[in-house]
Amino acid sequence: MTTAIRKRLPRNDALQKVTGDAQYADDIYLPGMLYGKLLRSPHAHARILDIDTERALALPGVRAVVCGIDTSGIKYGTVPDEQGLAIDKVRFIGDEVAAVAAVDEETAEEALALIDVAYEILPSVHDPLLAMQEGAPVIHEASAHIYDAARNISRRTHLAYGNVEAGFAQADYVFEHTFETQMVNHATIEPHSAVAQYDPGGKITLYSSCQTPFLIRSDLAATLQMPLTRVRVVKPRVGGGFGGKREMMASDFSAAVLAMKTGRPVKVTYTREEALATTRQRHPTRISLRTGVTRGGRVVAKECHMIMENGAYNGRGPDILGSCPNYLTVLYRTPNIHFDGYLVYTNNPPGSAFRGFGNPQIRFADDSQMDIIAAELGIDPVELRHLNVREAGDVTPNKAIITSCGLRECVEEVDRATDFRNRWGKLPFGQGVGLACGHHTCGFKSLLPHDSSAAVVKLNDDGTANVLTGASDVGQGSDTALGMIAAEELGIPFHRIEMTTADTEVTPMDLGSYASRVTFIAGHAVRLAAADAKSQLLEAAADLLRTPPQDLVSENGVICSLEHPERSALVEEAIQHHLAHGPGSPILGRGAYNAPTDRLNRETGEGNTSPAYSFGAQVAEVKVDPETGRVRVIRMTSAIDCGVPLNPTAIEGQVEGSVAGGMGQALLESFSQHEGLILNPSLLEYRVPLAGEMPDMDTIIVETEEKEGPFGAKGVGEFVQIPTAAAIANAVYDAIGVRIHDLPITPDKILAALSKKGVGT
Amino acid sequence: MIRGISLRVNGVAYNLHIQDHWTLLDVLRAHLGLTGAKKGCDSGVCGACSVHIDGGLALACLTLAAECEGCEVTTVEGLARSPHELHPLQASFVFYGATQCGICTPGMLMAAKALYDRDPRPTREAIHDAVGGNICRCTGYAKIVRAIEHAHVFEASRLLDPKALMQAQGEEAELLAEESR
Amino acid sequence: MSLPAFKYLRPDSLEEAIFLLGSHPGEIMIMAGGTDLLVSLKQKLFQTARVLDVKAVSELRGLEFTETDGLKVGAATRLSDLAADKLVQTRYTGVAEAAQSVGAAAHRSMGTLGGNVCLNNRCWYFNQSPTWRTTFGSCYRLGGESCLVAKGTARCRAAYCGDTAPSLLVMGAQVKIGGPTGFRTVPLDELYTGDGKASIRLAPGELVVEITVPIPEVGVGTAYRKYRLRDSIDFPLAGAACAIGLDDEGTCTHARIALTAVGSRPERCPQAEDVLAGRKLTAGVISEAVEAARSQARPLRTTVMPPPYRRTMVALMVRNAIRAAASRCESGWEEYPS
Ligand SMILES: Cc1cc2nc3c(=O)[nH]c(=O)nc-3n(C[C@H](O)[C@H](O)[C@H](O)COP(=O)(O)OP(=O)(O)OC[C@H]3O[C@@H](n4cnc5c(N)ncnc54)[C@H](O)[C@@H]3O)c2cc1C
Ligand code: SF4
Ligand code: FES
Ligand code: FES
Repeated sequence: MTTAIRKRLPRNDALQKVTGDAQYADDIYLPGMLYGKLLRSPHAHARILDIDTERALALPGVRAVVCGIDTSGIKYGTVPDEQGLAIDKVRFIGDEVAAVAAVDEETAEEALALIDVAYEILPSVHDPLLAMQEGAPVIHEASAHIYDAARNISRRTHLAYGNVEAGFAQADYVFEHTFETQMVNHATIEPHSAVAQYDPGGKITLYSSCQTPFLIRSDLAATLQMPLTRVRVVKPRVGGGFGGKREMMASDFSAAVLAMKTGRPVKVTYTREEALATTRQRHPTRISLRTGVTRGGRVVAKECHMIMENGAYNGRGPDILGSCPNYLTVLYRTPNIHFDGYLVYTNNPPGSAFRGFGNPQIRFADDSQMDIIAAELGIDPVELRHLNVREAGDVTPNKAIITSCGLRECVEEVDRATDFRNRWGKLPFGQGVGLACGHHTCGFKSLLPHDSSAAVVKLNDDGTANVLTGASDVGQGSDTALGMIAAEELGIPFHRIEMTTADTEVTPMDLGSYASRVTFIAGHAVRLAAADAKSQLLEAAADLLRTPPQDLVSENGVICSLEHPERSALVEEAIQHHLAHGPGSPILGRGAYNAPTDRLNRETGEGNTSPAYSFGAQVAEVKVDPETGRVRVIRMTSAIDCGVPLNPTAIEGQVEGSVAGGMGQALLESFSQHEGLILNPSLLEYRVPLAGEMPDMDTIIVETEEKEGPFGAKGVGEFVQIPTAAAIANAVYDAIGVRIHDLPITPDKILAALSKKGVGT
Repeated sequence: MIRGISLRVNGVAYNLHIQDHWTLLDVLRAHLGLTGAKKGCDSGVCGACSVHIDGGLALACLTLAAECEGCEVTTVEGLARSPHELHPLQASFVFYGATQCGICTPGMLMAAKALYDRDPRPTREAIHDAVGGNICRCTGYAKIVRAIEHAHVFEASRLLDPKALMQAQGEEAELLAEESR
Repeated sequence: MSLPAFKYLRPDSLEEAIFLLGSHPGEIMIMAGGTDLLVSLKQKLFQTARVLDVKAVSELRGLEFTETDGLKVGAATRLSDLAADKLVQTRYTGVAEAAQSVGAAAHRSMGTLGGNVCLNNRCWYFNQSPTWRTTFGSCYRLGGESCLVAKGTARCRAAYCGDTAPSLLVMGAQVKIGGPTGFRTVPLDELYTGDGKASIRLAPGELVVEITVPIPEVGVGTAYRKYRLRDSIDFPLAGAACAIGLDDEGTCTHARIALTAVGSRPERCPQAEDVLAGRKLTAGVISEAVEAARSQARPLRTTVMPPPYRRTMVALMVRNAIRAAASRCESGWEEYPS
């Protein structure tokens, strides 16, 4: 019996969420609060010659207007190339130029129209291939951070492992294909929002809709030139992140600057259009893969050439590109790899992290190609996977260490559950099944030389506990998972745990929600803190029950002796005993964890940057209407290895949400662009899946025990979305014999391809 | 133009001074402190601002506050039957894990309630239609649909009590899950 | 996105509504459900000093059927009420289908038939925020020199995208229009100008009071088919309504076809109708009619999906609507190969 883990417990914030009580950044209304709005560049590339704010300032109700020159101008970002408000140049349509605070939204909007900006329009470039050519407009000046500024290459990752030439020499067949993935947006239903409060003592408090309060604090403190103690970032409830809220946004920066200037609280909430078109995107990519396989179906060598469009700023781009070789080495055993990737600036909206951190793009290409290879070699896709899957105990060519891996079982499970092998290639025209695999990290050491988290557990004399951690629940349910870990370790019921999280002033440090690290890394810290508290608790109980602490277990709020089961005490009795007869101090547990990993070596791409890896396999079953070209996913079966499943309901929730996201990218979501302008910046024409589009979804949990994970668990937030597009593309091929190499698989593409083949209308 | 209006929100009568061009959504959120209805798009696409006006489903971002003169408005804050008794849909959403980030949840619940009031045992198709205008980016909708499908099971159940619901574990929960299958 | 300041007017009688409309020519806009108008006002697509809400006008509400006059639907009747009405579902199936296919549940419970019929024409260069429009530049409809869809022309080709109009057109619906000089009733077809910029032919001070739909001819089956990428929310990329009458021999005695979303007005397809009239509805005959409809429809690039694709979908929707309507004929129908 366990106290909490493996149980389908309701989320600890669910009641607040169903009653409307849960407070998100935009729900915060402070006395005297002003409304901030941002003036954005209408040009894709231009020099700012002059900004005249006089007319705006004269508008009644306007309290402040700030421009880049009023700020420090310090660049921020992991590879700094971006300013809170632009000073010299704007680099994409939507780049932030000025910020206004006014008594209401209407006035702020009106004031924006009264700011006169003189621009010198510069030639712009919107295609990475053109941007890389000699003589293309130069978007960022040369600096130590930039690989080749003249050719707009922010970063090149050029690596080889094994002996690529010898590998290809062993190959009986070599396959070469090019794939493209489109720009997609997180489209969280909560747009970015920040409320800043400034106290005359010189301190900023920022309530930010974000995934990484501690990182935002660093960036904000640096750009405001203030010590960390003077900047407090609090994460309220967050309405979805998926990577889109893991960096400081202009909303955060401007709210802070405007609050400092006016002495009043300022709220900056993005419109849907701003959130879709001016924040961050998943990088569009063009991936050429050359893969050598033996007649028997073993992958022996791979060459990947990747162009990743950075957009106007780096965001997390350099690290995303740097991670891509890993995505090729970890999933399938590939001894010899050559990777050449370019991160290319354009005057389009910036790309950055989005559920999978570059992995979905690589996986679409690689698992689409696996399917092609299977068909060409006459080996079924399941078998081809079995021949190449990663196994526990492996060390990848770039030194990632695979401690636990249920990939083989996952492939078996989806095959069994869907009868894949008996149906693949045999279904009537228009129906198909497709298989793909995926994996992802449980943390990522790159940004900083550590990947750490800390937690504090306080036991109260009524047998309840407060857990303090910096971890950021952005909807995925980490407050619940961490609370369950604490409950399990302490042996007290989950509902007695109160979580206080993600407040840089109150909670211990945590780097934030990204890289599927929270359950693993913050979970570890929480478990250690709970264990620390528990050992004090058991000491007290030992004294109370007159038995050594090693003989005691705590479960469901009761501490009892293993040897003398009749000797037991309630947790609260032990705590009270500790207070009365112990040192007199309350029980306080501390825990901290820094993943025992290597920092990504940007030169060699080597290192075990994640403490473990999660794996999965997916089968999509589709129906393609040959008349409309519309693809419907009928069923999606995911078998996943995320270690020990802490909360099956939460895990299914992550799987189902991932399927929806992956299906959106595969079939529906895309932006039309014209010279850097997004033509469809609304949820009406940026189409994300609705309830009626969703397939039946089955989740099969393949349990492995990850020694390093808290209670054996691994991360589950991202990896299920990674294979989805390839699984669907492969199923489409199975259904109609048409291979779509560029996402999304829209009905017009299907019809065009069908008519080229001479099928259909 | 400023005008006075009287309306009832979640059973409470209000006399308000508003501007003619203010939306109901802004008045609820900024003036009445009822931030349950969310602003996901402000243009009628996402459904996060769904409320009921005189029993009918409406998008608060496309409703003028001035239109609500004399109306009874219900928001998610008014969905529970009392502080100690949730609406079955709420209990069901909690129980089946139908809320993740929760930003779509208030709108989703109000759209679902419009259906529940007509038909507490709806088909899948009816559910897809009822929440077809509510975008959720987190859940993939499966648990939402399931929660709506089975909400009626919670009618008159002990688990409408929020405390009992949050502590529901073990047998009782299993039983309920079984029953709803 | 705030709304621009305006004065809100909410008359409860038709007389008052007409008086108010007449008193402020050019400075007043009609609002029913507001699901289209308020979005446009937030985007500052129109300027108006006054918004006249017609929802409280008692003469504009309600749904009435008599065996003599047929169906009368007040302009401010909600689409959800229309779609849920049993009589409409059985006697005017295509109309009920069309009403049910609009947007999502909330749009139907707010949106009205009058608003749907009078829906402003849509175009992705137009239905955008002010920021967007400043960036891209204004098209002809927004005061610029040229249309951006049909480049170089000074005419707006924005698409009429309402779902109900074609289903009403095939039933021979009429609109009752009220104004300062009294009431007039015109065929629905005449309400549309075909000019994207001023698509509804109403004189200043006029409003749509009622839509009347004659008794369907005996035995006629009707249907509406809509193509969109998602099953909810989305406007039609192509929509086709059809009314078919068949005699006992299966010969087509009555054929009406109309389209939406592919031109600047909802339009009948006379050539396609002529193909069907007097013939047995074999697969070949239907294809002929579909071809005629396809060649009539000229969707332009007013939305994300490319026009050639939408044209293919027009054909498909027409075919599906014909089949569905025919199968609903009293005499029954089975498609024979040609
Ligand atoms: C997200 C979204 C999705 C949508 N999807 C669809 C869709 O799939 N299909 C579709 O057809 N529509 C769709 N719509 C548009 C709209 O919701 C519907 O067309 C609705 O029926 C409009 O009715 P309304 O009463 O709300 O119109 P309003 O917004 O009140 O008015 C629309 C126009 O008609 C005029 N008008 C209204 N009543 C009268 C009258 N009595 N006399 C003269 N003029 C009048 C108004 O001045 C205005 O110009 C969608 C809207 C949104 C926001
Ligand atoms: S059709 Fe032409 S004129 Fe009309 S809105 Fe579109 S771009 Fe403007
Ligand atoms: S906020 Fe009203 S529908 Fe999105
Ligand atoms: S739970 Fe996050 S949008 Fe639905």
